[in-house]
Amino acid sequence: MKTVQNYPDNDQVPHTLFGQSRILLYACLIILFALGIGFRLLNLTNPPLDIHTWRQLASASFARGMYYEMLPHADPQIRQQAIQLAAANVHDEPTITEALVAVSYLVAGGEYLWIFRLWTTLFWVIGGMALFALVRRMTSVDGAIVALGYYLLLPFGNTTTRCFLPEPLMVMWVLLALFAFYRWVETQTWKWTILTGLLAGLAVLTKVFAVFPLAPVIILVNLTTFGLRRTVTNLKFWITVALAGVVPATYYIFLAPESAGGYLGFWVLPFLGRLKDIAFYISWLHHLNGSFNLAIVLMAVASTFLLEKRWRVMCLGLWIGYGLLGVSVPELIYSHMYYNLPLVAIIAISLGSISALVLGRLSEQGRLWRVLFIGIALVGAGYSVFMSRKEVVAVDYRLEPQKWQELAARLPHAPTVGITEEYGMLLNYYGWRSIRAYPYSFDQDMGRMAGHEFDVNADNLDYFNGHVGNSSYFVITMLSELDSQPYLKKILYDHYTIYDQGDWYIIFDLTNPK
Amino acid sequence: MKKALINTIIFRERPWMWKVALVLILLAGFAIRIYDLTDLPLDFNPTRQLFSALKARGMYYRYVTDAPVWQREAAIRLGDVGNIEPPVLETIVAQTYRLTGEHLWIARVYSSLFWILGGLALFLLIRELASNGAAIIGTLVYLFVPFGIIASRVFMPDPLMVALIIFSLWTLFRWQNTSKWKWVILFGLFGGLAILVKNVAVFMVVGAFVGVILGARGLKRSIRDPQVWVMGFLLVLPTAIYTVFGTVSGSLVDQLALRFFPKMWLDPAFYFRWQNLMSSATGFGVWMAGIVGVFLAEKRRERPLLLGLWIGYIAFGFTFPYHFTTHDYYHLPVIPIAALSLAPLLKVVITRFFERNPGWFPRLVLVMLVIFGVAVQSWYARARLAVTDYRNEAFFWAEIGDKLGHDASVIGLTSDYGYRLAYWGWQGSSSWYSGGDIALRYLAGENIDLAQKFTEDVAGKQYFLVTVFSDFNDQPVIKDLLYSHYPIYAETDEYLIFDLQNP
Repeated sequence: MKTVQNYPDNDQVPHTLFGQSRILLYACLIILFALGIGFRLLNLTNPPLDIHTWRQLASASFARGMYYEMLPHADPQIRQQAIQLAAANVHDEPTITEALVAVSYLVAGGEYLWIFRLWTTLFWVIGGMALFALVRRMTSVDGAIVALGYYLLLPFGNTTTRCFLPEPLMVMWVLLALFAFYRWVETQTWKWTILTGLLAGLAVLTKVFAVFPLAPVIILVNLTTFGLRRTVTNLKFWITVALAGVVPATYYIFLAPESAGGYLGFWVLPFLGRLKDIAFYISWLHHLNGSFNLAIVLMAVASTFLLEKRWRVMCLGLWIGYGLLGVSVPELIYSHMYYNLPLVAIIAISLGSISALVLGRLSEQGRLWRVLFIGIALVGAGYSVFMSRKEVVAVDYRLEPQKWQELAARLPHAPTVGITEEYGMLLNYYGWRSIRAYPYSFDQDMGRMAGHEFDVNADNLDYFNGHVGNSSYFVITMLSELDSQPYLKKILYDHYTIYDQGDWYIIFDLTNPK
Repeated sequence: MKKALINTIIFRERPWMWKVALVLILLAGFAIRIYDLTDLPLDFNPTRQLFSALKARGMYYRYVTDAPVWQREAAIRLGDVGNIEPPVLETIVAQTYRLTGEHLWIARVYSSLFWILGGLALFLLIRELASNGAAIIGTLVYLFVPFGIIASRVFMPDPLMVALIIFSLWTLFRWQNTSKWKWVILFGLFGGLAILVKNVAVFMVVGAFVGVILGARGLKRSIRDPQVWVMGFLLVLPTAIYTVFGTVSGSLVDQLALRFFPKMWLDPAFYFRWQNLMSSATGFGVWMAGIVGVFLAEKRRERPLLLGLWIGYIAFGFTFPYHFTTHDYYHLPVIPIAALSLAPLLKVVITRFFERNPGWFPRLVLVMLVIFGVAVQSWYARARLAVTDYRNEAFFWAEIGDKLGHDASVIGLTSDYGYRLAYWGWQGSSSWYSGGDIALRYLAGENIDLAQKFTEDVAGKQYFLVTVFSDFNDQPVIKDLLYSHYPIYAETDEYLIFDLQNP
């Protein structure tokens, strides 16, 4: 077992806690992976309505559409409906995970939504293997174990990687690319050149934001390791960059050019003014503290300075990349917490060096203390998983689908607009109905932050009509929104009759105004 | 060559730099604590703060000769709230009132000052344990964790207790390293005072003491050492006198009841709540790093003190399990314990950091990270202090006090067991059970007949005051009894007074 990593200024083999016994090492790895995988498969079949619901159901709808498109003997009407419902959702990145899930539906013989959790778990585990291999080379097996434990067991990562999102796959490619890049820096072979380029390209293809951690790393490590002149004249460097660029460019520039423009126009440019507002940074930090613990974040940043220079630059490049990600999407970085998923890996990698140092010192303690420490660490790991478990098992959503099916059955077959949960995605996926989403009050607040103004009063129907369009019915399940948008409440009750009403919904008939 | 020269000039060890840094840190720690100084002490455990406020006012008014007679009598009467601990802080504040007049914020200044002095002692201790750099960071943690900022500026004995604990730890460590009689006496003095101010300090002080004796000095050697016996004697003497007096007079007997619930040790939720409160006090990362620090500590020199402290804290938790998981200020001592425990870890990391980074840029980054962390935590604390202004409460309770006449016989379901009414309304009252009181008694195995208890408690009372409507609505039996048997004397959206004299 290799215990000597990059310590060019230290000829001595460092002591390691987990390197002393292969059995101990493998036992810890098995426990970490078992906990990490086991947690992610907990309550497997519970519908994905716990967090980021609209985004998960959008992917679910897409996967369903692809499945029915591929299903040989599907009912043509159902197939058509599934495809239309999928098309109602806009996807800014290629639907790779969705396609894998759709194919899995075919293999499994049915649309089993929980299959996506198997894929996202697999992605995260593969990423964990790459992370372990990377940190082990950068620091020691001790640093790698702690990094892997953090990566697999952090509650935020636990719950977010159970979601039907592209992020787990993106992080997997990023970690594989980082490992390949590490090996390329060490060896400068063509094999690692091509692998780095392809893996980085796949990461950026999966989600374009992967460019933020990868680009600074590749550029800065090359400059500090080889210098500007050697970098610029290094063909392998340019091949890597070209491969990393060609793969995603194929999609984002040639196949779906509108996705990049749409993202920039909607989520980036209008909110750049927030960068001048200190409240943005405070909110960002507050959310970081909640999910990652600020002390650990700062410890991780400081820990990078314990690394050998080129790997320190790699880690700092990752942090710079995360910072660039945050300022590029200021509205999303803390309102859509899954954008912070790469930070789990970044912190894990960064903690490797301080962990290697500390555990190395611990390895010199007596056996009783080493055993006690490992015991406490395992208890801590188990506790972390147990606390995450609460979020996963707290609510059973299995009755939700039926509720939306019943509502869909009550809706007339005519164009419908509505204020329903998750931008209508619950109705889309479980009710097989696509409705036009009327803005929530908080969407209007967000719009104001981007500098838009809305003339929302009951006497001015332009805003209302503009969003209703040619809809025949207006369905509301988020009844509190009527109080949050009093002008809307007045317009609907003053001008339209109620078509149907229940405890939790109202359907207004827009075809017969009063 | 230029770089080497800069490093030599800037980073050559200069003791005055550390002193300047320490002074600035202590000043900054004090400054954040006197933010929003004059707001009423209702931000953190108001019951306990008002208990002390009433006591201090009662002591002060014994010297006030120009106040109206009814007010003077009311202050003294309302100030007789019993004794939980010796009223050390209350006495200091009351005597200060004689110079300045009655201003509640004076207690905040004292508590903050005590905490800052504790920071000084902590710096000296960590510096001896590890290094100047570790001492700076440990002291920053102690001074700027948000919970610590809020909880150390309160009118309660805990900040003074914690400061005295830290001083006792410092003197204990000095004694461990020097065996001088000076440190024996000082340890006995500080430790004894800490235990006198609040007797739960015994867990941390004795825990550390036993840890040092067993781990650093050795039991056999310690038994034969007269210094150890003197230390032990000085530790217990002040409290023994006070406790014996209190037990004989009956004023302390009751506080031992309703506190010890060993069956909670078997409930996993007990340990989860404990961890939550500990993490709220210091932050999960800090105490976890502190635990790692214990493992890195030098076996005979550092670990005994740290281990003794942690064992003392854990014993504290097991002895008072209910209050430990419901009263957040019980975890105030874990802040210096965690900060101190960081020392061995910081020593290892900082040493390696400076070995690997001889240049100025990484050091600047480290300093900036530390400053950034401190600034963020201070901002969190400041935001919490700024979010609520309690100043209007004084007028609210004054209105109720005027309505009741200040000398009526009142029973109430009010905030903080009637202490707000007593302090700003100058009106005494007895308290009807809150929901928490009922839960605590059921936990203790008591069976309460609420209707019967109600009849007994309202006998002889003139009014029943309700301001905590959530508790009132959760007690339908009592609500029904009041509405069906007694007329309403006064009512607004915020309070309800039943006339018990005319059923």
